[in-house]
Amino acid sequence: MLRSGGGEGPLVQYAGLLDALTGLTWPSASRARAGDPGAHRSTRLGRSPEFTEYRAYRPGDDLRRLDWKLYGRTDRPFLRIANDHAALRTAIVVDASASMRFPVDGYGKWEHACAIALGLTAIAIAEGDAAGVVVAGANGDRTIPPRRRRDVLIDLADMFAAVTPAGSASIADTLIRAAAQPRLVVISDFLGSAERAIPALRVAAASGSEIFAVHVAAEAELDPPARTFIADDPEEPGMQRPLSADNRDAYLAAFAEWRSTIASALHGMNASYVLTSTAEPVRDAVRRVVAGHAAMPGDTGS
Amino acid sequence: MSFAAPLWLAVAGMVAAGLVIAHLISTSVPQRDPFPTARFVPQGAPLTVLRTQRLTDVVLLLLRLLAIAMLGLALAGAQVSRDAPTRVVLADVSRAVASASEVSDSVRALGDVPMLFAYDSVAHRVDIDSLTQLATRESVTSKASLSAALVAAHRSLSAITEGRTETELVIVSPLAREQVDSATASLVALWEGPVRVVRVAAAGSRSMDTAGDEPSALGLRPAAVEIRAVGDDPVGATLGSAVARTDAPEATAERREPSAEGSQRRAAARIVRTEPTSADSAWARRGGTLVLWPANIADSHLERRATSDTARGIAAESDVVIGDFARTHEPRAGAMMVAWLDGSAAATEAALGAGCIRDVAIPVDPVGDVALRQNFRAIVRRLVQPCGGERDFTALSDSALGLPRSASSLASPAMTGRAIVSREFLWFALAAVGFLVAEHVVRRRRVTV
Repeated sequence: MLRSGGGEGPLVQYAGLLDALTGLTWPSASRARAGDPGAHRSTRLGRSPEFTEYRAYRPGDDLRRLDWKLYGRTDRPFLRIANDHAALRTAIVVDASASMRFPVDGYGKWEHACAIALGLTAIAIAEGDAAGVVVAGANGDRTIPPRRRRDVLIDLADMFAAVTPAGSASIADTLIRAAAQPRLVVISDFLGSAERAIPALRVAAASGSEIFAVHVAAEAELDPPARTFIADDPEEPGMQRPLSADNRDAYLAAFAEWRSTIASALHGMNASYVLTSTAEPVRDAVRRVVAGHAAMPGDTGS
Repeated sequence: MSFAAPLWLAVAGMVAAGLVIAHLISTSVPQRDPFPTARFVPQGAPLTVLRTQRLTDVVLLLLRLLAIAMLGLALAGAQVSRDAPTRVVLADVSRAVASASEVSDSVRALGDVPMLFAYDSVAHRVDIDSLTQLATRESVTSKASLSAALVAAHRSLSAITEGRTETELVIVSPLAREQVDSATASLVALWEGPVRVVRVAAAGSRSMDTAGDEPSALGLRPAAVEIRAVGDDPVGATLGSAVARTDAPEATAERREPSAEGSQRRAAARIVRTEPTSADSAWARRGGTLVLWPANIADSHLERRATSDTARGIAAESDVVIGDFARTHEPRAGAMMVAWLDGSAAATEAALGAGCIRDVAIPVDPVGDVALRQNFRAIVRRLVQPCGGERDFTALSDSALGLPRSASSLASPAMTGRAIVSREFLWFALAAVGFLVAEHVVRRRRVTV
């Protein structure tokens, strides 16, 4: 039960999203490492009531797991094997660099990323997993450690409301610090940080973490306005390039190729890559993340 | 429409031509927007888009051209002709003017005079022909009041709401000291347009030698005062001490026997204490100041009052004599010179030809000391002053009216020190500002769209 904090807090704006995500599960794609009891199948075979198989006894096996009734009937020793279930600690890293604050006015990438992070946290907690969030900003990380209590959502909403994306912080260092978590979710536009973030994710994948990369893009980035304007990169003040109908196609191609490169790199480390636009409903994006669907509806992957 | 400085029109035309060329060859810089994925925009695209041989931003161009045109018209001093009077002329026809025909000629020289006032003690609106007729008058004894004329000029503009700041006030006058009072400079300062003075010769500028032996009606000091009385007349005693104390060195008191023609040779004022004669009237008609002050009032030509009483004193401006005066008769109608203390007239003046006749109904007791009092002497001096009162034709400078001193008779608006901002200038300048504001609004709106 959420602690009472009044109905006027920042979490209220996510109420509809939380309702839409009720009942969703986020099963682990692989066996979870042994740990706290949870909903995910563990790599450890234990003595839970859920029978899995019999295995012939080998010297050194625990005799307490020997099925004596079967031994009596067959006169051969077999071990009763049962799956164990473990909880999956989940760490969500949200990029709070200046590029995430786009569009500047209205609903932008930052708001979209926050909503996705909160939705994933809610699903994880609902499954009994401990979930925490790290916001990687220019002034350092703001962290909510993994917890199982649902009131982490209140803290999360408060933290998102207090953060304004700025600067050109790289999420790579944050990812390395979070690489020990069994499930690592990174929500970012990867602009300016992909070169270092990909290796960091590779380290996390190599250490056994389950990687989910949520690539957030603004609708205006995927489909720029037809007018001519000078595109000013907020993270690189010197980068100002005119975008017009003449070079719009070249821009779209370059952007798509870059996204494809990131997706390939992440797939190469067996990570889940999901591209989402600010035009996409958050609940759909969250569903695709937990289901492991990489492509947006209607996205040709170009 | 006329222009004071048409060169500014040429300047405005050149600026407008340059503006049109600038709109034909224009560069525009696109709007700058934050765009995080700017790095994927191909490099090498120009930041400015060059447009040539095509008129761009026609609305802005029109607004700018209109603003320049309005500024050019304002600076060029464009004047729109109007029916409002552009000049009000005050022509002095008082006794201070040596030659009224000179005034008339000066007014004619000004050209078009839509509003002309002839003034002495009062101002009348006249036309130029009427002014010429006034110039043919033989003599004038009335004292001028420039303030009265200025009030009339101000009232003439009260119904005019446009062009007041351009209406010029021209004063054709010798600007004698006697016609200026404490309100004159203030009335001149209230005039919104330019003011200038066209000077004519003052009557006092004539030499004594050219005045002849006849009593002068042209502002000369009285050459002499004669009195015709019988026996030891108290007024004669007063007159003897009064003129002896005047500053005029030529002033003398002469006691003449009645009707002595030779005695009129240098006299300018004559006090008749006996029965007046036709010769006295003729003398006054030629410009003399005839004071009919009968010694025996009861048998005089003066009219008897309905009720006789005793007045407690007489007064003439600041000179007051307190005493018991039997008030049995009253002077004939005319300008009051001496009043009883209750305000009724004790002595009056009536014009007669070039001169005047003064009736005095003040009994003077030959026994008492009234005739010897200083204030009584002062009143007697007033009674023997030339017709119309004391004269001072000393020419004042323009600065006495608050105008800058000028060598010439014409004072330009710049010399008057007044900022001349025409109504057209304000119109055109305001229109230019309006077009510039509209241009700014249109330009900002285009940027934000």
